[in-house]
Amino acid sequence: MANQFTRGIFEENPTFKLILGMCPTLAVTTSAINGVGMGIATTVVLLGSNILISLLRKIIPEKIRIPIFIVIIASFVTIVDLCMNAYTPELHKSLGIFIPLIVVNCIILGRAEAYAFKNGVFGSILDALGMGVGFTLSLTSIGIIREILGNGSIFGHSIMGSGFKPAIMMVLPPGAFLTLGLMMAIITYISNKNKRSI
Amino acid sequence: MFNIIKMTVILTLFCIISAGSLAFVNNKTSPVIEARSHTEEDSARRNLLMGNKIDLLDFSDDNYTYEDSNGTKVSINIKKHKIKAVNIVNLKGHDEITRDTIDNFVNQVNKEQRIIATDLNDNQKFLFTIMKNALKSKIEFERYILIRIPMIHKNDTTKKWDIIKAFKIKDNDLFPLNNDQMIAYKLSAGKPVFIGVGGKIARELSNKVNIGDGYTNIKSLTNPKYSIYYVGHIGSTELGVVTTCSPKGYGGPINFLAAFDFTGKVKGVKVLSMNETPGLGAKAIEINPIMVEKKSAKFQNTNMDKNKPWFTEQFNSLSLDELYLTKDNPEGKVDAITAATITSRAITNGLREKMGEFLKLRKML
Repeated sequence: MANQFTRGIFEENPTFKLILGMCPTLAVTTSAINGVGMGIATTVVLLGSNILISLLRKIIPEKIRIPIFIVIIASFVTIVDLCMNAYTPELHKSLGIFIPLIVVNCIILGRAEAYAFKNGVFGSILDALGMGVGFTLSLTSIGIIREILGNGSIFGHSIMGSGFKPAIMMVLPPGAFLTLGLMMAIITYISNKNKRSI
Repeated sequence: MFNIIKMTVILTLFCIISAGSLAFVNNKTSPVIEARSHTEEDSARRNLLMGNKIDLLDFSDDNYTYEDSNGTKVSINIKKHKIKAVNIVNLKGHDEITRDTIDNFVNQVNKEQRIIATDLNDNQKFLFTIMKNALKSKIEFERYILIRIPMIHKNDTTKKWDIIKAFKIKDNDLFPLNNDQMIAYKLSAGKPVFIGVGGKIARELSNKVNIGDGYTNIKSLTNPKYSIYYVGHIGSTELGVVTTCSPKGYGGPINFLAAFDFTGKVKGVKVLSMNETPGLGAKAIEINPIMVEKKSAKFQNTNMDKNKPWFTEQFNSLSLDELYLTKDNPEGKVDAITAATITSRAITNGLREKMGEFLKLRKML
């Protein structure tokens, strides 16, 4: 049971292990708060679509499951988009086009196809939460690293002294690739080492 | 066959249900979104017209009151361009401000007639802000529309001519474009909507419309180019004009408010939304006091505020022929953002075009 939840955070982490949803990962993680916002938005969509799809899996005909998944996911994304625009305008402004683009995030369609369509509601909820938390954590950690190096702050609070000169490259696309690549290398190294020692 | 019909029905049902739920959510959220952007724009307009100073000469005899979300209440009484009385109730989080602090500040303002936000200490800055909020709540706006319709000659497409007209407008008021009132517009949700007066539709009009010797262009009649100008005044003092401008930047349109005064100078620029590259074009809204000092000294512009984005502060009090990037025109008094020439040029040129349009409007008012 616990495994269904932790799987998404560690051994099947969507960003670092499954390498899914790279577009928002690279594009929005210019700051920690953007990472958290994008992660939570994705989690909400994932949770909603997973619950609905596992509930309706007996009704949805096998042949047209993909269009129906897309309709369900797109509706949830639009709802999240509208709600964020209304209640968290600052975050909505900084995430911009990447909220509507959650529709094409492979994690969500992937989980619907691989898990929710074949399993019960309870398992699907755990799976969605695990994947969502894993995605949020990885986006936030990339965001924190890029924000510290590129802007000298964490969650908007300045932590570096006035002598610190931020490396602007870190909040630009090259910084995203560098951070992601290096973090992925470190995590793979650690997990390989652990495997060997077991 | 039966299967296909069944699948179609299921898919259609899903689409209908999701459309219904989206309509429901949209119904709930759209008033919130609209109200927020409306208040944001309104307060930005007022801020631009006030600038970073309180000038007592702008205010006529009246009581000015304001209450903020913390419950702090201010009321200011002004007579003959002097502050007679200031009452502040409930100074939450600013207990160190005593009656003496307030009186001293008021005396200082009365003595100098105008007070500028820079070079104030923290307490004074707080008093300045709440007093400014009270004063700016009295700004009233009148709306004018400037409508521009490019016309083409019916027989000779090389002959072109623009109709430019200005009207004072209210919501749902009709404003006729030609003298015999054949073409009119109505303002609906901030947009002019084409109305063929007398129930005539655009196609019927195409033969009859003759604005200036056979010039006609029905497509642009139904979809005119327009800008709405907010003329702000307190009592009988006219403070200036605010309008929206959205030139195309590097990553889409840059929406900003531009304020002009009636002598034909820029009062201020405030970016509302844009989608420029972080670290490069997005520096148009970067706040950097050192840059402000540098640019202020370079262009001898004393109207720049340290606590506002340095790039847009450069525009303050420039006139039409100075609104160029220094690299484009030697007369220009605006330095571009390093490595973001497209963004800088878009804002500067967009502002200059707006200014030209405003000068035309000024003649018509």
